[in-house]
Amino acid sequence: MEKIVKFEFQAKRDILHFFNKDINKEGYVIEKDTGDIVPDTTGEPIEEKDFVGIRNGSLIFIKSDINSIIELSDSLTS
Amino acid sequence: MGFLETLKSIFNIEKINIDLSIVKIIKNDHSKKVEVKDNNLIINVSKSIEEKDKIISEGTAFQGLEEGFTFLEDGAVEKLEDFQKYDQSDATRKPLGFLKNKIPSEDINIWRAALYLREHYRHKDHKLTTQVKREIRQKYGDKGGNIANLCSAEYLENFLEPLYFNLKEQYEAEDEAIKEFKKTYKHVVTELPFTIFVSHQSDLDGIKKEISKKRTYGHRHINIHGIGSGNTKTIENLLEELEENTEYKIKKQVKEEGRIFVRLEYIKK
Repeated sequence: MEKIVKFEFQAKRDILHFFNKDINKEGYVIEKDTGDIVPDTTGEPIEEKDFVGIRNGSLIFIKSDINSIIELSDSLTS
Repeated sequence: MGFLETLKSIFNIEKINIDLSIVKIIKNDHSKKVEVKDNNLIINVSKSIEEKDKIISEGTAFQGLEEGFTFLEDGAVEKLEDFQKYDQSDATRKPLGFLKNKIPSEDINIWRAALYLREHYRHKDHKLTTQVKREIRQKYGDKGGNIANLCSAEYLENFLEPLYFNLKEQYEAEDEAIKEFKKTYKHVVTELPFTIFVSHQSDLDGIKKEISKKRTYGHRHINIHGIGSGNTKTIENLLEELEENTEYKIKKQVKEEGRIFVRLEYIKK
């Protein structure tokens, strides 16, 4: 597999910080500067437990469910 | 300077002349701040306070994205590799090749997920099977759940494929056969006109109502499927009640490996 930066579960918040994101009290991914909730590709908020990565294309947040994994797989092979 | 070179520069390891293939970000108290092992750059963020600030202030992670890197948690990497292994196998490619251009394009990913689920079901990975089915249903609603169940019960091979080949014999033009196939396909995946999948939420009264409802679709048979001891018991209880019923007869009953299949035939009056 090429061009993957792997990170441990424990480093999840550090990765979000790298992209100026954070987690709010309710457990959702937010913009660090404004506190605005960051949506996934379907416009839904992303819970910290569901967040598993970020890919290019207007900063796409990847969730752990099978549907997101299929989208990710297609984006990596296209 | 590219993303990997920038990272090397931030961690002062520019002199290490190795072609890096993998970047791994870890977080613990016992590993070194940074390490290069077998072409892997391993960064321990719990010991890299200044370097983390630099990555943030210089937008290094964004640079990585722009260069096509994807940041992915270990568990997701495993899940991705597992999915790709099945998705690229003949067990998935062949049925998908059949379905392509015969079903709505938006259904293809449901079938990919359903075929992945089926492989794990066959390998008795029930935890993953339950999770994937829930995720399919969450995104695609009842149709997603129906396709997952139809796929696991092999309706693709035993119903949809024979249906298409029969239609192809029936119609001279392939377009016509596909058009007819699409109609039946839509009916089958949205209504389940002759199939009931018993779940832990099903009760006897509900199943009986469903049987009556499906009768209105005009099919001669109705197939009832159940997986697991609880659902098997529910179906066995149903069969006991149906023995006294004069509207249906039990045409077929198969119970194996924790699953049960029953075919009921409507009795003409």
